[in-house]
Amino acid sequence: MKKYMAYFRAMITSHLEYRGALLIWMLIELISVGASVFIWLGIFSSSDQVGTFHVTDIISYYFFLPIIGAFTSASVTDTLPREIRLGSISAEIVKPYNFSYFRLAHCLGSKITQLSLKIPVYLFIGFFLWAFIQAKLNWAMLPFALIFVCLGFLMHFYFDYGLSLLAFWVEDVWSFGLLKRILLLVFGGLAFPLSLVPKSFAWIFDVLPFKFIYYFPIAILQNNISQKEILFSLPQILFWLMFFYIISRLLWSKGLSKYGAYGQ
Amino acid sequence: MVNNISRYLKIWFKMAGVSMQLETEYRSSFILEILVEIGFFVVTLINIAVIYSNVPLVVGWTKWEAMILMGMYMVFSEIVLGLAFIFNLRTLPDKITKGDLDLILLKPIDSQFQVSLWRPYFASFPSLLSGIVVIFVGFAQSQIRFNIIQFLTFILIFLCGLLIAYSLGIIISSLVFWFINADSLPDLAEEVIFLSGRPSGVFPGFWRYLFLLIIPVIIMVSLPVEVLTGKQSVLWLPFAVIMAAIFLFLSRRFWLFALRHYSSASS
Amino acid sequence: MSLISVHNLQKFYRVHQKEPGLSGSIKSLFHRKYYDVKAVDGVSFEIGEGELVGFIGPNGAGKTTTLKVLSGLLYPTSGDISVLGYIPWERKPAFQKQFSLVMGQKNQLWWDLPAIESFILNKEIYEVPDDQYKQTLNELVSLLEVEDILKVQVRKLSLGQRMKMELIAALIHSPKILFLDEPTIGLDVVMQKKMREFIKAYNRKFRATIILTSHYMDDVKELCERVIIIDKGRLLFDGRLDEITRKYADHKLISAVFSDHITRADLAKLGTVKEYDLPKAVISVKRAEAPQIAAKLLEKYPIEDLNIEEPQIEDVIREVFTGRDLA
Repeated sequence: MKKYMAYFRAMITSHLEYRGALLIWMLIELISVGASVFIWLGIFSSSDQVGTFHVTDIISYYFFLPIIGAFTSASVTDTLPREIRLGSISAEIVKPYNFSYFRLAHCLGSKITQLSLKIPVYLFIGFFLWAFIQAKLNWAMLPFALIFVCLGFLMHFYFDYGLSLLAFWVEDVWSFGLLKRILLLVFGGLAFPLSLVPKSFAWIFDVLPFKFIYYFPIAILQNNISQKEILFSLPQILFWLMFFYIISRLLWSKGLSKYGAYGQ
Repeated sequence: MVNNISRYLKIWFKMAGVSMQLETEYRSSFILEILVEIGFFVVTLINIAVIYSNVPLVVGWTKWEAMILMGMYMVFSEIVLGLAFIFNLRTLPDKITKGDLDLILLKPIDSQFQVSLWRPYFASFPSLLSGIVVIFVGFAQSQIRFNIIQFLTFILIFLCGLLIAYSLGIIISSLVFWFINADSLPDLAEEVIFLSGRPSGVFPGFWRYLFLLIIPVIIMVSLPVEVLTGKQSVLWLPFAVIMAAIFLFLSRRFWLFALRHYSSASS
Repeated sequence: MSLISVHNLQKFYRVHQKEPGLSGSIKSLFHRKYYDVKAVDGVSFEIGEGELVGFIGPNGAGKTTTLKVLSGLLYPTSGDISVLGYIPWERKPAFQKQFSLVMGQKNQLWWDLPAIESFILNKEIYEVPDDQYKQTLNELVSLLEVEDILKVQVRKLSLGQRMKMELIAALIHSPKILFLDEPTIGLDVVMQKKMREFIKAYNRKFRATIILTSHYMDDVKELCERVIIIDKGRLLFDGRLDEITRKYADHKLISAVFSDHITRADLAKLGTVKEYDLPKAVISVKRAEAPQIAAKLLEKYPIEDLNIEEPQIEDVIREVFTGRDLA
């Protein structure tokens, strides 16, 4: 455990060096969220209510989006696929610890640094938007939201991690991250709140795991998910978490034997 | 002068040939990239479908007009990304930290050209085509008609938009000379340019002026579409041309300024 | 009129200081301290056409910085510099077409294409006329013996082959001046030798002015008639290689092969013991005393062979840098 902690601390130090880079990423996020807000305000200009949403609901939805995203994001596909192709993981494989836990610690380390910089900014913005956010928040649901945020992160991590492991077999590593972004854009609730999907298609979005990464925790806080639904969703998210975890382990062992054979 | 232009064109075509060769070299990844492009295309269509299943109009734009906008945006962004960003501006931070920028500065070819237009990206071509298809569908279904004047004005404004997007890309990416660790600055430039995919009506008051005069994303896609669909008059053309000239000038000066900083401060 | 004229070149940098550890990183977020680094501090020299000059000095001495100023990559803090009649940092294309800078093992060839494609690209970039291109290409190819691998993808070539291709790409426009920054770094002994041979041949055949930087003595010994020593941004010496020894070394080496035993202590009485590996031993003695001490050795001890030698150029230069006395 200690070695993970030491690595954790080193990651935070190195990340603080990249303050310029962090600032840029926040700006990018801000612009992307801002653009969505503009569109939605435009959509609401013709009618007061869209689906079950009022204007204030949509603003608070897009306010929470980056916050929840900061907690549930995983960017293993940014670095791991290339490292596998280049063979730079060789040094790590021989070290005496579980590779995926190591990556998890790495991910958490950078996440904490990012959060420490982002949270003050979000609080600042939240201050201005407080009237809107208050509108429909059910704070009693916070613990549930937190549970799903944590599980959502773990599930996302192992999904991302498994995706990265495909680099053992496929040359192109760019496209994985992009494909994931596409999936999350639509099925995760980034482009639009999933409750706006026409009923005939809603089941697709329901069955897929991506709703847990962005849409679900926000919907809990906005009181859009009943207690019963939460209860039924818990085994669902646990199933996906297990699923991705097991697939990752399989991919890892298969990939490692292939890797060893070529000695990249 | 003419000699110079033909020389740069010759070099560009040579690089385009090289790029095409290299891209199709790895067929599996080429196919995967095309799939990704199609993926984004499908996703955007779903987006529009979901939104319009809930409301009939968005800031006065019908579903088909939104499709035209979307198609135009796809064509626009693929041109900008493919020509200036993917193999060019996106690699600038890396080139600086690895010292490859020095190799560029040694050559008797304009450095801005080498850094921003050197190697074009072709896998974006299918998306470009699908964008054009969407535009056709949008026009067919909406039954909007335009005359030759509107069409020509539209083309010119579109070109101005490309030049402005290019200039913004240069200006924002050049900031990496001062923020060495910020290798996502080109991504920031792209994100700003992506704002152009929205109809201008979604930007209220102050924002409209901002995105028309300071960061002219409205000129890039929305304005040309609005001229073509008749929402705006062709008299916007001079404005677009002046903005393009201003931004080209600013980006050039800024690039040279950034290089001066690099040549005094680097080691 | 010299080709390269440098007068009182100075290049200073501002660098920010950071304390180590987590608290240091947080502190530097708010307040940064700067200090000046004097990379080059008042260097002057003139180089004429066809010369082969070596800049030697330890790492960080300012050699690479000087080269970068001469090639226009860096603006000097102050000084008058003229290369081929141009001010380098104005980066005029007419100037750039006449020189080439090759830095260490940096590569400019396209990895997935045959080297010849990169040559053609450079031909276009430097506007080399067709017949000049063909002629230069043939000469370089035969000099480097790479006729049969011209059409092979660069990534399939060996390191030595790649290096040769990089050289051709850098020289395809027949530059009048060739700047080489650490040309033999990272190469094995065989390749180092080949590189040196090529540089010498190129200088002779194309009559190009060549300036190279190195911290390997062998590069300098083999190639350079003229040597400029730079350390800590200052020019310490500018002249012929053998002059260095005469100017700076105030001692000589006496090496002897003994036919009988002699203790280290006894040897130490006569001079500083450099090598003690019986029957061979080497001692260092003051220049003036060398003949006397040699005579004393011959007198007192049974000796098979005795030599009085100049000290190794490496040692001399090392001492020049550290400013220490040689004995």
